Amino acid sequence: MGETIVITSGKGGVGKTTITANLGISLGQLGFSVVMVDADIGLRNLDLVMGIEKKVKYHILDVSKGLCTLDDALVKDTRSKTPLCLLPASQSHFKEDIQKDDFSDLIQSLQERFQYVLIDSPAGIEYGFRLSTKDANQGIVVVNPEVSSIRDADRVISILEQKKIKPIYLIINRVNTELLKKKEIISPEEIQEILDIPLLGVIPEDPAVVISANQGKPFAYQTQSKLGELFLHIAKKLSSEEPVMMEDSYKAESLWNKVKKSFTLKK
Amino acid sequence: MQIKVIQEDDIQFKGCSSGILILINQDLDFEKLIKKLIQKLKKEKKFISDMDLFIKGKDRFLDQDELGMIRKMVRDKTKFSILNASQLEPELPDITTSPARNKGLLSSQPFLIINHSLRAGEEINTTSPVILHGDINPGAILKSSGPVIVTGKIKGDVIIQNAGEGAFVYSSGLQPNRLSINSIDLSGSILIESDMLNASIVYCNQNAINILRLKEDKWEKQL
Repeated sequence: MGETIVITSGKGGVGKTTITANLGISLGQLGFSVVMVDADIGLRNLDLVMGIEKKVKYHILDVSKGLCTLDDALVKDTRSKTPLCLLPASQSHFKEDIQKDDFSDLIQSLQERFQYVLIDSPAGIEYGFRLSTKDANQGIVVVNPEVSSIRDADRVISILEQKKIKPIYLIINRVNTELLKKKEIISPEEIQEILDIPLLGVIPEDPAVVISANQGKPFAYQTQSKLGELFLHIAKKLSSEEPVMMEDSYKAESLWNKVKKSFTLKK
Repeated sequence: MQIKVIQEDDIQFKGCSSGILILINQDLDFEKLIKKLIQKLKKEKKFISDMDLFIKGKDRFLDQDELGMIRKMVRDKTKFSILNASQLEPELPDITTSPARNKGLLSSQPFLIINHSLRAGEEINTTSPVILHGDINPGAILKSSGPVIVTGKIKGDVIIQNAGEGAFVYSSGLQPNRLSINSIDLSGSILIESDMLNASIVYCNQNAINILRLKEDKWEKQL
């Protein structure tokens, strides 16, 4: 049975979908078979971020209603050397349109076929969130260095703990290194101290993330890029039973910025 | 069709060290059971109004969905707040189920010992003195009628009500969103960021809040 990991946050717009897409690709690069489930029914986005929206013919509700098979609905990403699939959400339904048991049956079928099932949870803690977390055995909580995001993440962690989901990992996304240096945002260390769960990674704020999402070209495919490399580290950390050493990317980024600036000044 | 009639022992109220434990037969028709529970709560209102109520199925704890529905329906109809009985039997029974009886100042109630941080959205409401091993995070609330000892930091709300002159709060770092002892609020403006680093005792004396801080191995009075 594959590992089922819910990627969640409480607050919307923190980067759950981007992280799901890139983490899925990176796990694929490590040789795992991966399926990503877009559980944000009615607000489908994961296909866009993956850049495979044109291949979507059926969606999760079509499968649950018996209008197509699971295989018909799974969209294969042919850029990946290992099986990497997406089960898209419907764009025209509501979250409540899918029954909990039907969703569980689908997840169970996917667990039998893939080594990793990544569920991209919708924001909030309502029905869609409960659906996404129902069959998960691990959780990843995505947080931005903002008080509202941290408080919502704390609430979500509390609910995941009550559901006995373990381990629950933390990814701190969109860390602005300039603001961090000026101590104008909450530091990753402080966030980790408050939320008190194992840290998978810190992702610096970078326009390349927005650009790659808009272009449907996930940066995890660019393994030579800093962000691609970072996600590969996160995937290793997630999948390895041994501890994986990883430098603090946001600190490394800061140093890199310094070098970049010194060259700019010389010009 | 078999009609299930709710028997008297399908809903039982039992006294426990932390309040009242409500045992329900969770296998019966849910709506009828809730209706009966609400009737029973209303009937016993006089006796249970100041007590903490915990609920549990006869042979298992209720899941979050079941508990959520019961809590909402009961709160709407009776204003009673019901807690999950799993809080009475946490995972570390060696610590949590051995009540540390205390004397005099701390009243005769056993401590409620909590072995985890309180996260945003979590609320504990108890008449017992409390020892909490962890932090009280922003957005979390602890209400007690006795002294509160927090081994970590307080960033959320701590409210002590009807606890008399001996009430106090200890924490290893104090930056609360709200701290109130016997309806007297500690003003946030007197706390500075560095206060988080010092162990502190807040107590109420002659209708005023006092703070003691541990600085370089010595307790100093701040207020």
